Amino acid sequence: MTVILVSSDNQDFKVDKEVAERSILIKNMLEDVGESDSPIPLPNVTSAVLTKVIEYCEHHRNDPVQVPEETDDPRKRSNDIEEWDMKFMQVDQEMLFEIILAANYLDIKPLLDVGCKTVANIIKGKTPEEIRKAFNIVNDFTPEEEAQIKKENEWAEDR
Amino acid sequence: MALENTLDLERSIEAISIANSQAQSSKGPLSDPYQYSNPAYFSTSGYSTASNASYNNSTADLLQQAQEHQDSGARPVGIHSLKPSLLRYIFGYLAVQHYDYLNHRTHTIYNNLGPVSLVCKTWNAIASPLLWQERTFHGWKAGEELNVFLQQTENADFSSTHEYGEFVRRIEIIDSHDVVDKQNGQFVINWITPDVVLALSEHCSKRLGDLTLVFATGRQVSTENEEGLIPWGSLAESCRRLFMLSLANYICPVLPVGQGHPFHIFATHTNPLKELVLKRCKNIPAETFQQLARTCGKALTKLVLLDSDEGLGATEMIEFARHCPDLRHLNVSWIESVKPKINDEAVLELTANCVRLEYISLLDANEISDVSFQTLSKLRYLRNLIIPRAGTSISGMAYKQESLVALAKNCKRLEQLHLVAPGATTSRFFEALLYCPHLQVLVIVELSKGLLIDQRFKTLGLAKYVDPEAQEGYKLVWHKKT
Repeated sequence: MTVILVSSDNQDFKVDKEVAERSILIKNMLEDVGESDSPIPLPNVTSAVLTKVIEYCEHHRNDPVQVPEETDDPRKRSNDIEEWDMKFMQVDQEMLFEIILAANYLDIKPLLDVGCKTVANIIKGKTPEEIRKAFNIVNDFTPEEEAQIKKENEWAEDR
Repeated sequence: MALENTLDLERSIEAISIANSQAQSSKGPLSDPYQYSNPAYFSTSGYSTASNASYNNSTADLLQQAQEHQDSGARPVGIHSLKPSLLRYIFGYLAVQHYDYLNHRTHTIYNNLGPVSLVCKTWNAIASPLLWQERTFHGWKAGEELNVFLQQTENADFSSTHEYGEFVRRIEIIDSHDVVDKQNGQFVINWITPDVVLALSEHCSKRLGDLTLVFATGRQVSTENEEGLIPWGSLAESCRRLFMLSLANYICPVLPVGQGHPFHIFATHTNPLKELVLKRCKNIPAETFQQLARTCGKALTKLVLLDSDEGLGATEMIEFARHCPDLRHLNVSWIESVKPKINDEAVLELTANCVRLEYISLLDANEISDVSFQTLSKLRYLRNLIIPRAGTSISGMAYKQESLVALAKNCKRLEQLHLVAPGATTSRFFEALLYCPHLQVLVIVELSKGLLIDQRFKTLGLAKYVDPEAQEGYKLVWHKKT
């Protein structure tokens, strides 16, 4: 059985139900609606992003469903990213965040995790200035505020 | 735990954002498209609102959100598009996992969020509570660090960036042994003083959930005079979210139990604890143990009372068994000079009431008989059973072969089994052990030599490990082949 997903720019995507149901949002929608051929509009996802998301879901179509309790526990989280996922995530930053937002909206936890891990890896080991540069963030602290926070968090530095 | 503060935090971030956008408005809204303070940040959150309520969205809603999304689509998606909860989720991956072998627990440490907290105000608001949730004071600098910490959390002049005390969930203080106390010539310094405990319980009352205090083994200020008593009562009254207490080497003052006994007051008034760990603590009265059992009740899942003294007896263990049916982890032992206290009655209460037990370590259970062994097979969640001295009665076997077989057959989750099996490990026992596919470690102390045949262990997938400390091959250790 296939499902038709419609992106925000009105493109139709025909995918296997099994693949579409990697998204808990879509899974719940399908359960609510029951048997129906009507296309599912995804007005928050552009066709470019939806293409990527579907590529991910196709590749992971046979993965066991994650048990939410286990993955929410930070102790059981791992920073490792599978090789395929790593390659999949080699996209520009705009697409990276588009994917994270789409995964969050569509409720695809494993994809959200991979995206967040990728961002965490970019942050890791960088100075505040390097982080700002990497993500184009403006420093909205006054120099005094920055110095104070630096002092307050001094204890955390050499550990 | 983590989610309950989400609302607070998001509200405060919104406040920062609004304040910023007002400050920025003079410069014009487009002065900096990537800044969080751009008001568009919140109106572009079509994604976030949609994901919050995504399950019941009608098509019309979704379309409307899409419309909003397109209206504000002037600037590209970036890290500014993520709502705070997603950013916090990302920061979670920056945490370092630290396994505490002594206490069998993993801590998540966010020490490396320092740089993240300096990036901008929004990031700071998310990172600070994570960074500050756990503090450890250990080593020669601990005294100074504690002073600074207490000043910052007191925030007497309201000059701190945040009310840092409100972020703190876990504190660990370890008294130093390598600092010379010049006045007394002892190699001991007490960081843990009554003043420190009082200040902690006041400054960190909002979220402190987990307190570990490792006292120095030498002189302790708290035992000397009335003013020197650790104010456990204040801790119990202030910290209503405390659910884990771990004390080591604490010497309880010898006082009549009642309103004048600070630790008894703690036992009476504390929030029900989930985990209670007391190692090498002295002079804790029997009544206080009983009170702890009643106060903690159903909340208690982990009870560790190592190297206990006379205050802890079979009666107190029975009290814990009766009041704490959700106990999972039990590890109790006594100092050498005290006669072992675990008896059949205590074990029977445990196996009858605490059916969720997963971990049992009773190093001193010398006195228990087959009556106890028969009931152990009721504990079907049991994973670790460590009773290395049980069964060493003069008469030889303290338990029947059938009880052992029943244990192996019923407790299928067994991973570790540490027993005395005086010359009684027959084929039937080994066949029964085949029902325990998770068995990793099997330690059998044998009274008569030569009855354990390697071949049997091979069928269990266990390899022999020669314990270097074992004398004359009496103690045999087997572990899963790796």
